[in-house]
Amino acid sequence: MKSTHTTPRAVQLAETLDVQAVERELSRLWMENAGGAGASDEEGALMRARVLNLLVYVATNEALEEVNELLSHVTSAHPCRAIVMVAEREAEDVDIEMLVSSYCQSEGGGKERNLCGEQVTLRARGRFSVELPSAAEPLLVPDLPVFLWWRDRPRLNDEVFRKLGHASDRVVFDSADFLEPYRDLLALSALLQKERAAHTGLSDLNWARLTSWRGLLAGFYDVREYRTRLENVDRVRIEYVAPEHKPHEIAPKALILAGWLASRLGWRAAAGQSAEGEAGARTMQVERQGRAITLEFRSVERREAMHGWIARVELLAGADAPSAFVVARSEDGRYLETQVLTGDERVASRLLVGGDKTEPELLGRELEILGHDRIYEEAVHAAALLLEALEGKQKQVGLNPQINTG
Amino acid sequence: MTSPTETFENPLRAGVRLERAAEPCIVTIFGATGDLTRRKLVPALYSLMQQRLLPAEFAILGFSKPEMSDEQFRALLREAFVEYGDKETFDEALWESFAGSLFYMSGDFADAEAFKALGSRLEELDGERGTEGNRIFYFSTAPRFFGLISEQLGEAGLSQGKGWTRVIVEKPFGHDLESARQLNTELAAVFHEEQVYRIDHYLGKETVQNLLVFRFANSIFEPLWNRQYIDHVQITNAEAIGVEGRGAYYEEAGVVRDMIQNHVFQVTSLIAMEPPASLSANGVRDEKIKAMQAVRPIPLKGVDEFAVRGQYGAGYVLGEKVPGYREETGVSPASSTETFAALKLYFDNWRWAGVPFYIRSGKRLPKRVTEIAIQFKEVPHRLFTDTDEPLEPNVLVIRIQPNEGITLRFGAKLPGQMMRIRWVNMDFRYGSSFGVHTPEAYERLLLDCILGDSTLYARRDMTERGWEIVTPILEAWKQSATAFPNYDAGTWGPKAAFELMERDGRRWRRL
Repeated sequence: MKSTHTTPRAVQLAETLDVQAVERELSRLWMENAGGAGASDEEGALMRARVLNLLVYVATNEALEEVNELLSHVTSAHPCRAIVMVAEREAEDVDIEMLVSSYCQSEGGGKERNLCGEQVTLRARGRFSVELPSAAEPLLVPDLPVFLWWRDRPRLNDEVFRKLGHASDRVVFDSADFLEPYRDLLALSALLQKERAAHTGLSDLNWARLTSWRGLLAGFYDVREYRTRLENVDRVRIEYVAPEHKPHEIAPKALILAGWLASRLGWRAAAGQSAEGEAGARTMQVERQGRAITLEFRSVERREAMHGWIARVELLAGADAPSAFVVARSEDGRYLETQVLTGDERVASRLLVGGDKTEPELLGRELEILGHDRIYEEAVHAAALLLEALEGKQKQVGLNPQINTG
Repeated sequence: MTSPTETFENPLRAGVRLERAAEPCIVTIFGATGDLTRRKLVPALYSLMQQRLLPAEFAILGFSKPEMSDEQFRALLREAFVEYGDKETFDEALWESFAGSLFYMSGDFADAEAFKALGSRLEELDGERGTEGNRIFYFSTAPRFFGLISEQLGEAGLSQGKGWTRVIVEKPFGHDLESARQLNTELAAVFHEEQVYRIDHYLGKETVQNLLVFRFANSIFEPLWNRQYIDHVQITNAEAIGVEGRGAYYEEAGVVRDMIQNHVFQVTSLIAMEPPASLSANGVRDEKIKAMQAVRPIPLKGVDEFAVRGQYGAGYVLGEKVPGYREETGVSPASSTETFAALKLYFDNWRWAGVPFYIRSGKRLPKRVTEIAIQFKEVPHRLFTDTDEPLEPNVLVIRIQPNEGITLRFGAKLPGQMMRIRWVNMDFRYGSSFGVHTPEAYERLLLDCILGDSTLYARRDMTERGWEIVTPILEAWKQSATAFPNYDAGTWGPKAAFELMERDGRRWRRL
């Protein structure tokens, strides 16, 4: 499938935002794309397709260029009206300018139909940045779901983030971009707790990247014989590549993965039990019904592009029935290998495609979902409690609200 | 507090968005060296594995006559995989890992000892691969072996195991009503109906599944979906290709056996059925068979009123000169096999009384298209009688291939002083709105079978009902000769097909 993007065209604005001017400009663009009003026969016709509104927030012109490129991939599966906002907050004040453009997909050359979507770009500098939500909202196509893709460092308490979030059905962000992983993860957990009943759902691309890990780990215990071994797990080792910012902190992805295990399996953090292990490893104790489980986070070296990635996860059970369930990423990141070992015997292993999904693929998946992801919310909450225990600020609290109340 | 692992549920599975995860199992393929295995089945299973939809505790065991080692079998499949798959993305390391789950044993279907050996091999593999005794037996052989293999499996005690056991039966399912019944009886002697999965790859197509969503997830169509508003239904299943080297097979089959009694009737039943109470396998299939049971029997003496047959002569298709059917390899020069058929069916029930369903299917038609057109009744009173153009009816078209989608045709006023009406199409294109990748039919169907969901497989009663409906047609045609060829390749079938509708004051859509 081939994608073409028209050159963005500026819309002249009066003093206040003129929605009609934008719509008029888009209509004119459509007429031109269609080759004039007469070009509407069966084969050559354009289809203006929109299944959702996509609000995109970026903070720089470079990010805008990247987003324009990425959007052409996303919109082939999710034709939409994209409203891209560029907020250069530190720049000198310049009022909002608006550009419209369209993008078309054609399945090869010639006579196939073109499927087209449209994009409105809003650019603001300095103090005018805070006006972006009020400029974007009137441009939403009525009655279609609204997604916000916050493609910048998540600013969970920021006014623009909050306003855009409230206008959206779902907010997509990436916790891999956390500037202060520990602080931001705790803030995220607090936000999720506060917004539990809110209409807007949150999507974390970092969580989406964990989907295959979770799937593979869960897959071990789809086998009835192995399921009972889950009860005996006494050590979990998570190897991760240090995050780009704050490399001495545990990568958010590793913490969220541990939080997921803890929330699903009803583990509680045991107070004052964290320790620095050898060679950059951090260990902590959790417990379930009096049984202790050691959680170990270990930072490993990989190439630069893999900052914050998970490298290996092991669920180990010792004593009576020794077993190991392992998912490991190959050093070059291309493969994921799963292994089951019982005693000294390797029972099953296999190699699967390993690279993370691309950003447009991840985003595309998130655009299929509306509403809250409770499993994620519980995983983040549990991750925050683990983190507090690691940092020694923790009260003894259950990690899975459902299991504790049930 | 109960422990999360005491229950049968896997506590880690909740919310993992990998859709559906399969249980460990071994898929035994009979006819493992054949084309279907190499081109479709193994690539589909590989793809499911890479999508993480299959567990590591999984194995494929090929069973065929030629002597071959596991290694030779793997090499054979690898070759086909590279040839028919995407060469660019082929990855040796991934293939090697997958090939570790491929095994082979040679055996004759008539040899009871071979099936005993098969039993032992499966148990061995259960131990090595952790497959928990769950088994699928895939009959990918010539249909004449289906009964025999089934019997041998029963004799060898392989019809039930310590896990679940399922069989997948490839098409064609019988040659006529009697042989279909016999095959069903042979299968039923060994397996319960819930264990039998009769494949109809048409049902694995995304758009066919979308028919259920279209009809039963939207409230605006269902009130119109009956004799009050619908004038008639047209179902077209056209292929531009000829018999493509399968002349010998096609000589025995013909389009009624090859396409209509199975694929086309499956689609027809989805249009005609009542809303099911649930999406369970039997919930849907009960309603489908109920609809097909309402099809009015075609009288043996009056077949010509309801059915038309055709056979193509030489002609031009898509700008190329092509030979006639009788000149194809493996085809008799005096062949009386039909390559085209058009039928008129009535459903004698409340919903459809008096609404004809016209069905046409054929080879070497001008283009490849499968669609269902629901033609609505004319408006009850002609308000715009002074316009020159006749009023056209509203049509709802559901296209299954190519360009899967839905089109609604309605009238709109032409801009200007005059009251003139132009008919416009409102289009929804399935592929365009929801991305490009839709799973291969075989992937979907194999996964469904592993998961124990037989909704998209044909049930015994449906296979027999399909044959019951077409039996008088096949009988009558056998008894009387007709002048073949009677349509040129690249045209929409014989004149009689047009007359079938014109007699009723209707016409086929121009496609």
